[in-house]
Amino acid sequence: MPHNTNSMYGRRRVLGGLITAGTFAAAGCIGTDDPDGNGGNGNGDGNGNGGNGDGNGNGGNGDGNGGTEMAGSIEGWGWDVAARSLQLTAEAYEEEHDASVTVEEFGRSAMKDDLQTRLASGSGAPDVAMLEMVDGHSYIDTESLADLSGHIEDADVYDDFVPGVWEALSTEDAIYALPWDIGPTAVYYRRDVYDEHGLDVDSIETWDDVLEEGQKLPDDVYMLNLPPGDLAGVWRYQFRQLGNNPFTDDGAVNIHDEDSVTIARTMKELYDADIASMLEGWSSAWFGAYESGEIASLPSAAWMEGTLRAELPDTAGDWGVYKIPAFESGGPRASNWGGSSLMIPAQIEEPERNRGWDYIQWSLATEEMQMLMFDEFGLFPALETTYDNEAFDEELDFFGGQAARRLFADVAQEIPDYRFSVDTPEVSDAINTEFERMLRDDIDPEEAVMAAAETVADRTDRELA
Amino acid sequence: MSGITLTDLTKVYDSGAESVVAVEDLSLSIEDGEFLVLVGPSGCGKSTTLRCIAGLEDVTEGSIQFGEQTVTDYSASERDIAMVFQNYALYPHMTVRQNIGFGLKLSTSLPSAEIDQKVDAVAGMLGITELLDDKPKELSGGQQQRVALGRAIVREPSAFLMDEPLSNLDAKLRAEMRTELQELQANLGVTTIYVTHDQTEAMAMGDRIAVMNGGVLQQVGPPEDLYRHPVNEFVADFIGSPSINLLDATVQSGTLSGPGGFTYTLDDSGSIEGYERVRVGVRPEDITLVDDGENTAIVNVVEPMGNENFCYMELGDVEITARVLPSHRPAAGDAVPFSFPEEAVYLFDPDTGEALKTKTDEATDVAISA
Amino acid sequence: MREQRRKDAVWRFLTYTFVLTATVVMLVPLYWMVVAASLPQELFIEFPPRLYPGTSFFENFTALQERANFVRSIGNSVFIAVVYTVISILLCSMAGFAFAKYEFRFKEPIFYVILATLVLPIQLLVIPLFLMMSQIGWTDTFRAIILPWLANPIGIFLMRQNMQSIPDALLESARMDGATEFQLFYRIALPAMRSSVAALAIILFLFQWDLFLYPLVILEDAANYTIPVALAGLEGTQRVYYDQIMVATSLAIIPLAILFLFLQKQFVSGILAGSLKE
Repeated sequence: MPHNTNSMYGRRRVLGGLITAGTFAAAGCIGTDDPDGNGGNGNGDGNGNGGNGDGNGNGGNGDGNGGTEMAGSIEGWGWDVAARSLQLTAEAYEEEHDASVTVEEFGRSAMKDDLQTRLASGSGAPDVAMLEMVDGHSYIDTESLADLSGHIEDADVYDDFVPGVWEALSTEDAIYALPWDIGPTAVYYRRDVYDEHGLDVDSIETWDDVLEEGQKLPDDVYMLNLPPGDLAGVWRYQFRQLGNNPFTDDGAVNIHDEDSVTIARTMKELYDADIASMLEGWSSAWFGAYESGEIASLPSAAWMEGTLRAELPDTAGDWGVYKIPAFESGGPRASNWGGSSLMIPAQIEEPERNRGWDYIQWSLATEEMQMLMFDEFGLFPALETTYDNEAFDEELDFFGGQAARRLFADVAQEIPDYRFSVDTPEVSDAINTEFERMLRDDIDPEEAVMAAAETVADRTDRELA
Repeated sequence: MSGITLTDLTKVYDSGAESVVAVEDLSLSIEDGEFLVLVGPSGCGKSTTLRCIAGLEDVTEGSIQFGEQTVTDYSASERDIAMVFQNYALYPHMTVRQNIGFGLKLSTSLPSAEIDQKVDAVAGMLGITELLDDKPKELSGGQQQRVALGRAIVREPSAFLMDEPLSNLDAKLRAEMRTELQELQANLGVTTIYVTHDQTEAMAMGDRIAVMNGGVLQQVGPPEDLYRHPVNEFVADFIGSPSINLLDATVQSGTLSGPGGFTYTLDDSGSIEGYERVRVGVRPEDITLVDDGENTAIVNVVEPMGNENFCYMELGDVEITARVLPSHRPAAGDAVPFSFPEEAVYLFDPDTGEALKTKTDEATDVAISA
Repeated sequence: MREQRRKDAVWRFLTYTFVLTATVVMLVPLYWMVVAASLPQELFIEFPPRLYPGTSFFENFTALQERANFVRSIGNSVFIAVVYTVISILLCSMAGFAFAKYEFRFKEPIFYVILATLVLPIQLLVIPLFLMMSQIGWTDTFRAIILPWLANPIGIFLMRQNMQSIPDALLESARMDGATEFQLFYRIALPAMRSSVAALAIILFLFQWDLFLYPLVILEDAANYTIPVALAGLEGTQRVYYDQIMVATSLAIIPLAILFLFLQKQFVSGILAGSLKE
């Protein structure tokens, strides 16, 4: 079974943004009903769940009293391995329950486009759908998601998940999705290359150490890569690592914070020391360089394991992981890159909503199912209670016998909160542009973060913090 | 075959704010088999009249009858008439054969073999048999003209309507086609209404001519009638080439006095009794240059035509033209005396233009057309 | 004289060089697409890339078929685009004919309203259309994909502009020949418009061929997917099967190539030449 991992954000968010903008603009125009989907028994839009196949089962679906009634069949949407994971749990769920769960598999951006349209139009959305954490607040802001906080409270599962994930899925007084998987960060490194040139992993704690060790590599081998198209991704995981947020609580732009300058300066030092290559992430050249060992380390997240296994099978056994370096000795070394959740659209009526929640809880809040998906598809659980499982302590051949997953589990518990918003793409855009200029020596790190902050403030009509 | 009768035909174009009267109260009878030419300056309503007859324009008031049948409300396709357009309007994507046969194909249930036969016959008659498989763009202007005629003829309609069909041809071809058309019409005996702005063409071709001006029918009659006895100054001026000479004159007991010292004493002034002013008209061919006469004009230029000369002269501020023998070639600047017989004098009411006196001499053998 | 000839030669040389360069620039990505489609996945990742074809086209194709039944999607796309194009050409031509050659009340305002709909982006129309289609139970049908775009404003505009060049006399002549108004349209006006119709056919076909968001929302059963929707489904999140995508795009181009070859000979200019003596 090849380990394809699930989606994480950070690459190929191609035309999604554009279409999203259009779709939501449209939603504003035609004014779909359902102003806030809170708890109310699904009245409103008459043709509600046209999309979810035959609503058979429990005879007269009379007026929902108390909201305990459950539909006999529901439909779920996801993409790629996430969808296949859901199929797995759906099978198990059907065995235990008298209900059918159909899971539709899509392409990633295709599903987002389709889903956003149906959410905006107030009809035809699936009963349960996958939601990337990075998109969390964009969806929540459209008021098209059902509030699940009552269900979460009743099931008492809030504390079972790693704490750093809720921020992306909730507002002050409501929670709109249950966390599924996360992407605790770490640096993947080529053991054989480090050994060959005498680099000492254990001595790496800070980025200064990386700089120092990197000097041991010959000219044609790079310590790491800075993908020119996704410098913002690098910046984001480091900014989160420092426990910072791009916007303050009252919404002001905060990306010119001192932490941001530190990150920019470090990136610039790595580049100027000539130990960082600049290859486009996920390009053929990029894969090729990691296959040949031309680049020795890859800061990434838990899901990268699956990609490496699938794309570079010849490198099995040559890899190892260590926590991402701190910016100063004793500083935090945990962050997150990617992650997803399951949500229920607000347009879904009570019986389907109840069934949907039941299925979500079954899939995501039980150790058994989370471990099943982890084993089969490498989805790293957001469910903290699973981390006691001995599977995390397995010494993996791919990592030369290292118990890499334990390291990820340790990181997971320390992930700081992070608030994504509708304006996340603007932040990425500005950071990427200014950091590229910085690496080209056009501007210095302070100027770069300041320029990015001003751009974001200008485009999103916010104040500077 | 049938005659065509127009009764009080009126056509008003209503374009929102303003309405334009294109044809006003026109009544006209065209006999069966007749070749009638509608002539007049551009904008006089002759084309509109033709289009009303064709059914391409709605009639605002009045009626149109073909024979006994009132067709005022019939659509073009129901009227059983054929029209030849100024620019031929051949179907560009069809061969000559298809162009000619198109009407038969649409309006009759003839089998295609029979249509082909008829097309062949018409093509033979017009001498375009070898062009039948060509597309219009491969043809010369004259050939296109024949195809357009063929398209009209093949349907054996009860009338032909022709809208300046020769105006796009060069002069030589136009003269040829003129004759050919006349012969064709005479042989087929089909009622034909022919619109032209060219009075020469009208004089040459029409059994009768209808002169229109400003949407109003001025006069209908055989060419010579119009020439000799125009009902008003407009018709007198429009018919004839070179145009009639016209000048203002005051009347004093039978003597006309005009510009440049012009005087002419009428023997019979009965027709202008009570008039103090009149318009005097004399056709160029009626003016003769004489050795000694009452009136003298200054020669501007002489155009030799071979068989005759056109002598353009100034009489005061009026230009007059004389059609003289080729032997008469006065030099520019010469003052030449001239005269004309009283029988040849036209007199018009100066205000209404109505004819008070027209030619009273015998018909002469002077060629009417150029 | 000679100076002029030399100038002409230089000019021609520059023109040909430009055209040739443009051709190469256009063909290289196509060539690479086909090459990539024939490489096994491992070689695809290879850097620098291989520039000559491999032998795995059929294997890639088989893998693609197993994942997505792409051949079926091509069939769906061709069917939808052809039906759409034929009906839309007819409708746009008729509307264009009416706007060009008839007088009726509010003609100008109606025409400008139709033109104004051009500014509405498809994204804006998708939601109301989706609602409409789901209310009449047309989701997941081809007719739902075809119907909303039949009266295409660009098509109506294009046909109106071109129909205006048809001389009135031509139509009147046909009226005298006994043609009905509809016969005027399809026996005289439409045949005279052959090159415009060919151009319009390509515009309409490509429009429908490229439609993505709308069919994505309307079509539910994978067996009904059109090419863009099926292609979007091929996109995973981590691993992208470029080999399969290249096979898919290579195949998807074939119907377009056929369409262009087929319509090319219709682009004969001056089709109206010779109808009128000016």
